[in-house]
Amino acid sequence: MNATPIKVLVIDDEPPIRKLLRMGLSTQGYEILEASNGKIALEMLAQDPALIILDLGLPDIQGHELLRMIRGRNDSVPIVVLSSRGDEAGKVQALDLGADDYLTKPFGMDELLARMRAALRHQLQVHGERPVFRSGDLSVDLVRRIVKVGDKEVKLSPKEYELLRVLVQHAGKVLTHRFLLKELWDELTDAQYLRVYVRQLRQKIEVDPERPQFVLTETGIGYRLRAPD
Amino acid sequence: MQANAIAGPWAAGERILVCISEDPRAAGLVRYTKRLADRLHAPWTAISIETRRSLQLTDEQRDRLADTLRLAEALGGEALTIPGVGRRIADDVIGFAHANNVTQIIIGKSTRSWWFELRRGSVVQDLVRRAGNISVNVIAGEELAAEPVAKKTVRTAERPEPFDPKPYLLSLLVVAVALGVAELIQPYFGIKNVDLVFLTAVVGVAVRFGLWPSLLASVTASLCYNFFFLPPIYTFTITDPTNIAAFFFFMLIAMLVSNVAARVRTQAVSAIGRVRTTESLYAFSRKLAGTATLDDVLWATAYQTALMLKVRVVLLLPEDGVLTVKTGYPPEDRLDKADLAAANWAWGNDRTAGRGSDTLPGAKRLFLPMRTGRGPIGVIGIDDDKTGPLLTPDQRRLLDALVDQGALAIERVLLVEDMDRARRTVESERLRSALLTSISHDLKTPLASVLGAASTMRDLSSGLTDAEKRDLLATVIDESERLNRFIANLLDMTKLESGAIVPNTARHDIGEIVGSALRRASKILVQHKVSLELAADLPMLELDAVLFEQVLFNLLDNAAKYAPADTTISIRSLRDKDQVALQIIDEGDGIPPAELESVFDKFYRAQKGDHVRPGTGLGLAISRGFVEAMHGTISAANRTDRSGAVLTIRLPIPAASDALDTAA
Repeated sequence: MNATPIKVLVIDDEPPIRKLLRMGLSTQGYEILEASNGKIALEMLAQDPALIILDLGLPDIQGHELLRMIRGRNDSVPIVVLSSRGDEAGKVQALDLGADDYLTKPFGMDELLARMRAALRHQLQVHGERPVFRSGDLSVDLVRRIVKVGDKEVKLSPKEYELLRVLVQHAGKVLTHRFLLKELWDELTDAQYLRVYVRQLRQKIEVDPERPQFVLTETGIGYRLRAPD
Repeated sequence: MQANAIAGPWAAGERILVCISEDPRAAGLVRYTKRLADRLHAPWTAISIETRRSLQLTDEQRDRLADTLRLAEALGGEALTIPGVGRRIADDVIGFAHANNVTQIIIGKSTRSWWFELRRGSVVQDLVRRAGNISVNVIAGEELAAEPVAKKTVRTAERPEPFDPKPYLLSLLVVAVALGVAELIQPYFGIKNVDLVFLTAVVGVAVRFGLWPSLLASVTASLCYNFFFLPPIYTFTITDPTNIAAFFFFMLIAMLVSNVAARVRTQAVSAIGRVRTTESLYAFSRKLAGTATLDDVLWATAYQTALMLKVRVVLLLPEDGVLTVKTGYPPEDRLDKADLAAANWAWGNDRTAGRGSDTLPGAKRLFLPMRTGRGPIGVIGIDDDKTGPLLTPDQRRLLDALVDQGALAIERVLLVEDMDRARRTVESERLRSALLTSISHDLKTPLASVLGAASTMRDLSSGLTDAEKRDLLATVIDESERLNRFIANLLDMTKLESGAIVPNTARHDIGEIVGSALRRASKILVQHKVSLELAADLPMLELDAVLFEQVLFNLLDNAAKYAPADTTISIRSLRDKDQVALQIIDEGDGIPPAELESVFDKFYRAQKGDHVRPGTGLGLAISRGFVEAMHGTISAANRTDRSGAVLTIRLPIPAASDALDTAA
């Protein structure tokens, strides 16, 4: 891959998980920093990792607290949290605290790599936004405001376009209901409005709106737009 | 009987009647009857005929009679007191026997003197003579030991009957009125008829006021008759011998009539009293029969006893071996030391203790053991604000009856609770063993595959082709995912059981959740076709999206497991009045009709021959738990057009749900 490997800080108290991540991520050209608890993790921040993988269940510092502390020192490094199933509230809280994405344990290596790519891509995009987003048949020209599925142009209402634009800007990343509401209306709006607009957007851009391929539902959390090609 | 032209009783198996009296050996007679009835498998009844003699019984004799009747009930017989209406007791017994198809009558041999029998007639001989086709067993007195009926150790109050002069004064007044009337009519009807006026007065007094006032009226009326009408008038002397005869006959008739009329009155009064007691006992037992929980039964017993006897009541039941106050009327939750000691003594010795009894009379309350045929149940304690004996003998007998009924009701509830507990224990045993089977089989199978595949890769990789290695790795991944689903199910079930599931509901588009469930289940469904038919006009529903997605995932997982590969799994939703129905329809073998409900049981798994499908048997149980937490229902059925199962979830449409959809 790149000449200078991307540094990834893995914060997890389970040695087998760290070992697995070390082996898996090394093959993809990442350089791995390991921390077995929160205290070491905070020290490791000095080595300026490009991405952090954080297990929310640590022995010394509560996961969300550590997340807050990391964000306090570095508000731009992408963070992917690892969490257990059924803890949707905990995931949403982590995302609200500034995590970029989450993975439910147990997870496959392919999923983790996809999440990491999405998180890193977004960070790069903040600096240089690509004018045309493409994912499968869907293309969104953010400069000219043109949305196409295949060769067919799709007419979107201003609100629908706004929704799609926010999704495109964070393509591949999960966006919480609250984040989307804040971007499109204000935080106090009922999530129902969001669901209605998502349904309408799907009617227009999905081939089979009942089985969406682009705008994916993260049940209990929010939405995720399929990553660009 | 008449309709079928059968005269008299027809034999429908044996039926035994035992006649009891206040005789001390009656209890032995009842026990004898019980043994006989058991041998013959026959129902039996103990009757006591209430005659005018019954009214003259001493309290000890009444107690003994009541105890004998209770004994009959406790031994499983029917106990009845019937009023004697015939000339002889035998008539009443035979009448009852005929009406109730009795085949055998049991009676004790009389020990009365020949003189007594000459005067009053022998019940036994009457019975034998008149029984017709009913056998009469006369049990000799020697066979039955006189049972020493436990002497009532409780002092009871004398019946409060202070002398009341009013009836006597009133009866004198009635005679005076009769005198006036007699004086008025004498000139027209003659002296011969005035005695009828006095007799009418005497009968009236007898019926209204009973024996003693009527005797007084008889004497006064005779004297008045003599003084005012029999010449020489205004003296008590009678000169004409025929008038002397008339006077004495008048007096005799007056006395006889007053005696008869007074007896009728007494019987009527006692019948009313009995009806009242029976009615209240009946009402009490009906009230008890309607109660299902122990607390209700205890409360009803305490309340009714307090109400009927005008006393305060506490009920104590053993709890972990310690006698504890369970309820009281008025409510009471602790006893002082003396009372507790008396209650414990009554419980331990199965005898009465406390106030007014021989044991611990210093206690504030009187404690009686409550027992049934099976054994002791608890203790009842009563007291009131007065000092001295708590109860009259009649009240004491009523209390016994109430306590008996209460004890039976409490026992019934306790037995039901015991059975419930036993059933629950069996159930939880069954669940535990099912859980163990599930864990040992379903968790170990995928683990064995993972371990086997991984160790093969490590130890034997040199001999494997690339394709074989890929195959082994796929096994590791697939089996791990299966394991993950099993564990997730166990966790969900645990959460459901512990009540930790609190739905976080909001308005959701059901189609969206179907979509995300399908995406999550996509790996499981690779070998099946999925067809979606979601109605376009569905309103948003009040759902917990995470729970609902899990329900759908479980149903899809199930369908994929039971329907063969390459068949179609359909998901269909439609609006049905005020509900939305969502159906998962497969093309498998369907569900055996008898098991349509039990598929939602924990650890249920469809059996195919002796092969059990893999799975924890928890998926549908969890689904039902989740759906019900969201106020929906889930049911299973079979397809009618072909083989296959239909799982239907129904969810209520929230009020005013369409507003937002149209607004947006």
